[in-house]
Amino acid sequence: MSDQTLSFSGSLDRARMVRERHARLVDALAGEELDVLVLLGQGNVNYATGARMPDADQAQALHHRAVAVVTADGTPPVVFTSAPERVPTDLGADVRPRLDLEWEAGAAQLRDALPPGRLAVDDLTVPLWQALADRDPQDASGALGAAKLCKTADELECIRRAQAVNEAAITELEGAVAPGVTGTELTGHFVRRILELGASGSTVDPVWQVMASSIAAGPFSATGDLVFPTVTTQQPFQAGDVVFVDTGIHYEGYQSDYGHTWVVGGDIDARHREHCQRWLDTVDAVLEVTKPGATGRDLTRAAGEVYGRRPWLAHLYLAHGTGTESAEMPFVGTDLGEEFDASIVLAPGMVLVLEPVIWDDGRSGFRSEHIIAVTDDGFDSLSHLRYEAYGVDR
Amino acid sequence: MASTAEHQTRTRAAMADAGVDVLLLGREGNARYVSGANRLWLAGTRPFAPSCVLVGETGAVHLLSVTDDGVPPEIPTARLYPISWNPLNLAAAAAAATAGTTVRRVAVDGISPLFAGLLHGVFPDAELVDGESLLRAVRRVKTRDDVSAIRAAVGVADAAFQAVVATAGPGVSAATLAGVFAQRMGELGVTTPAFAPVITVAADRVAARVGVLLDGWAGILARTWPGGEPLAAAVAGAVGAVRPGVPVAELGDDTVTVDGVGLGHEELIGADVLEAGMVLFVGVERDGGCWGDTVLVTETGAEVLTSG
Repeated sequence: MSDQTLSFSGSLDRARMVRERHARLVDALAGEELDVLVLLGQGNVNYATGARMPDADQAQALHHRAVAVVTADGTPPVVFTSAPERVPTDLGADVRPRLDLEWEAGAAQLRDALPPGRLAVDDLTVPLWQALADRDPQDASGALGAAKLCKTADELECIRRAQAVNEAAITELEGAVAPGVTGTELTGHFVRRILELGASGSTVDPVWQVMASSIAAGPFSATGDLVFPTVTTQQPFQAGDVVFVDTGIHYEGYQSDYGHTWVVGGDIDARHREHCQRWLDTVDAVLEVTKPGATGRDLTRAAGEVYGRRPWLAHLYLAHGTGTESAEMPFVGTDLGEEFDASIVLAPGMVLVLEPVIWDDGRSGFRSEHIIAVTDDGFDSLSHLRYEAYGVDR
Repeated sequence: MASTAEHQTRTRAAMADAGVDVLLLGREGNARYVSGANRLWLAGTRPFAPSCVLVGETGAVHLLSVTDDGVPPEIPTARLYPISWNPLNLAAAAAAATAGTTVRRVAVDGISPLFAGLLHGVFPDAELVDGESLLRAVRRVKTRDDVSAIRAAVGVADAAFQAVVATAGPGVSAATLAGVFAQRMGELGVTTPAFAPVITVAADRVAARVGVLLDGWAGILARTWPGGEPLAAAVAGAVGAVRPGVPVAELGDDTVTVDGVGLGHEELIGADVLEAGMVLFVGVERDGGCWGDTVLVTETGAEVLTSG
């Protein structure tokens, strides 16, 4: 292995990306009649300012987080951070020392630094909530959603690159999947490879779930549907195991989402091929109707039923968006219901991670993920998974 | 599991002292402390949502999980509630967990305007209060089992770090060394980092700060070589001052950082006073180098848990 990073053919203008995102957020604030936006979520801080802190576990990330304040007048944002070198200069951001919002003193400092006007926040520590009680903070999800829903060309390129790194690491890993190997060892290989390929870390503990052949034979399910994902263990793989794979990394804070199904030992039989083909047919049927103006309900209708069930998991979705969060709007096929799905109207720049699950209870199934961006007249694929092992060349 | 039972006893005692009837937890370290559950690890921050409920009166723990995989058997499956994309359902699940009990005071470890509204709706007569500071205080002094778990995590961090030392050499990049750490962790059966390895290579000098989470518990160390001796001396000086009764601010000069260690990072401020059973990461970062150890506060001083 080498630490030669991948080269990318698409162009990426980081400065333009930062400026365009900030402009969209400023417009969205006006649209929501908000004056001030306080951001604590690190994906949102990145979106608004380009500032990204090093990857870490949640508790560490909360401690070190950067905080951003965006105002509807379009002036440069304020970023409070211990890492000023991580704030791009493109917006002329006002960079100030880190505030510790886990404690009353830091919360009071932020309160005192905020401009007047109608305020929205994405998340709150308890001390900040108490400090801002007089300001009656609104929920920021409306403004954030409006800005983030459709991606700029540069954002799409970041997702493409994240996915390309993830796919390259997996391709090199496939040779290591064998009877006797453990999931934790596989994770070690995977994380090493993504780091060498220039990624900064894994954003989710990689999932290599060995699927029981039926729902009843698997772990307890609170929904009665298939359980996925479960946490990777040191259980060695056995020949013939059907493994549902799910990994995620990021590039410039934009998430990849890789899914596939492996058969350990490579003995792929007619049943596995049939499941894979049904999955591909389901994705094709959804993509057939994927274009601006189509609704989420159109997508779920196109997905139909396979083996007598909706071809996705009851507790998840047929499709989700991705960006600076691994799963963000639009969501399609969730427990928010058909009316909600019908309210999702596709528009150019929206990203959809299609993740149907084909489940043939008693005979296992197939799951993969296909990422697209909606274009003016259809879609572009941002992921490039291969299915040759299943006898499919596409 | 003995440890989780003790965590629950301590937490319920703190709840009783504070008049808190129910705890709603969104932070994974807090949820793991009171539930013992091993849920899928995700990097970074995420907005508050109640993913674990502890009812003070009954001691019942309810958990956001679609399965009992990774959930201790002490939590019956009837107390698992699945993920929902409708936040109202999560607020309703939290309220359902308290059915039949009196709820006057609800403690949360984070909040959002959305959930402040929803929780007010499902607990109309209750006051929302600070659960994060409550758990911060409860978690700070470790049980015997907690310390054993941290020792095991430190052992993994030490062992994976040795692979970095063995690999470092002319022409070996920081990315490769970070990768070697991750790979060795995986071979040792651990896939969750405390943070992505922070490694720099300048000429032949390597500075590495690494940390793992084993069963959620953190083990962290930082080393610089060659020429790390002055950094090591600064850390040793700070560690030499560690003993019960000493305020955190009095450990070393302002190049020394002191963080709490437990189920991941734990918050400490300078005014906090050390007690036996606390676990700290004591580190320095300067001149492009770093050094640091995971340290147990003992009755008489400190025990450095890291080797290497």
